[in-house]
Amino acid sequence: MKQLAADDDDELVGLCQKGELDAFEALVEKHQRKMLNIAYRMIGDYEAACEVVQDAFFSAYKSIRKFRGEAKFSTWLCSIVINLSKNRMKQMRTRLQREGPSIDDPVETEEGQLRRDPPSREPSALEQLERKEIQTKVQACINSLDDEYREVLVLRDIQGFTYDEIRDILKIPDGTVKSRLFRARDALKDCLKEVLGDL
Amino acid sequence: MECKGIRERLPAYLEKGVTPQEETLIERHLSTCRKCARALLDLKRTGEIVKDLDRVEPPPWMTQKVMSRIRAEEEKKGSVIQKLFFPLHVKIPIQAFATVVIAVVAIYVFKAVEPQMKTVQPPSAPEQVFSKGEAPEPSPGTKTDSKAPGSKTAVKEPAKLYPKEGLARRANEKSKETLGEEKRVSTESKEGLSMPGAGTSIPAEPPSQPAVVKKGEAIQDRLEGPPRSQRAIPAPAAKEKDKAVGGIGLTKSLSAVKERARADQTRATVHVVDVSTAIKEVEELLIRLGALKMEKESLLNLAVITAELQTEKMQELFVDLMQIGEVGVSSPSLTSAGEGTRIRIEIVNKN
Repeated sequence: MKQLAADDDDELVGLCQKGELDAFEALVEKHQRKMLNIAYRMIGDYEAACEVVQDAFFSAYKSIRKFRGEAKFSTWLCSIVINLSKNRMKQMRTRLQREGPSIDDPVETEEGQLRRDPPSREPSALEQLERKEIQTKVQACINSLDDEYREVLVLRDIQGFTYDEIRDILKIPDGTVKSRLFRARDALKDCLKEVLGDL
Repeated sequence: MECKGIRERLPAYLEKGVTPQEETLIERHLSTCRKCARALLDLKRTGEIVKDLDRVEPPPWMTQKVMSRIRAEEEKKGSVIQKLFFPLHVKIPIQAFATVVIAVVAIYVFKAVEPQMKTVQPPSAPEQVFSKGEAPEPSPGTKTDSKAPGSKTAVKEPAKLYPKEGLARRANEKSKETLGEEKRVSTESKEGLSMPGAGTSIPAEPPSQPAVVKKGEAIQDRLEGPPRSQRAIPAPAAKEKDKAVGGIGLTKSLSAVKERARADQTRATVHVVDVSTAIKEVEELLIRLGALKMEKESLLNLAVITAELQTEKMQELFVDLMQIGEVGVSSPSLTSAGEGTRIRIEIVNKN
């Protein structure tokens, strides 16, 4: 019998399973930022990431009674976000292949794609501009990674999940997590060197 | 280890994911190889850049939008009645499946009950009661008559069992078969006259059956000649009666009997109340007296037993017959009896 994961969210999840909507609202408030960042780093598009996160929370609520507590609620929710993000990426690629670039798509420059600036807490305008430019390029390099490399990189290096948590989220062995992560970092390094020059 | 191999192991080296031996090799190589050392620095920097990525903030309406959507979903599920209804893509297949199941069950039940329904059909006409006129005539009218009480025993297919021509002959053969079985004869006689080949008994003929009585009268008229006042049925009427019951074939059988009667040497008529009982008694009497070549013919209200008996036993026979019923000797040849005289005993219902 699997031990239940120690989770600060246990109480709220229990109330949700009894039909308490306020408890679920509290969970949304608590985890939406982290989930949005995962979706954003996966998809690379802020609006699409917002939609994915909404869908993820809605899907989580509908399935809340099936949640057995074998993993942490955040881990379970992250799995949903990752899956929906990958689905969305496939749709975007398919649309791009079928319809071609849209006039609404970000303009591609020499350095990389310029995307709509997501809100952030950086105060200095110039620094912020430089910073955003760099981050845009970094995001472009992340987008260039294969899905299976991207997800481990986002979860480990950006979100700070442990190898065990990543294993639970992605349902892959520890060895696979590490091998994919190492290759992802190597590939990203090569991409960044091309885009940014010297790191 | 070459540079390519070293660089492949650098990410693991950063994660402390190499063996001590590999770690020593890598560090030794890094100390001598600038490119690999540079690669290691780039790798570290990449990790820092990625970790330094800004965290995006969710829009302020995110929570509200999520909860609105959830509450709308809850309202849809709301009432108990609504809970019974699935989405169309679930409901329609379920309904289609239920319809198919009901149809299959209905067909199965129908097929299972069908044999029982067939067996519960209204009973078909009882076995045709073979009456005097019926057996040779497979006509619908015969069935009605055959149902009348006091009718003779039914036969399944009178046309087959009693062809018009061979009715009397067949009756004679059957009577021969049953003659040796006293118990069976007694049973049949108790229950009434039984037609050969019928195999079933007939109810004892009630005394007040005008049709039967009239038939008996018709037979009696033909066999004995003198009409009786109590049984006044003119010959044409009797014939009509025969026809009414399909009596053409029976008339022929009576004729055959009459023919044999004329050829017989001694004739005695015994008038009794119960013909079937009398038959049994006469048979027992004949057997006791040592009669040979006994033959029996049974007709409606009439039975004819012929046998060969020693002349010395004749007197005793007639005395015993008087104990059974009223005896009428109709043949004058009695006086001229010789050894082994053929006697014909006609047992008639006196009513």
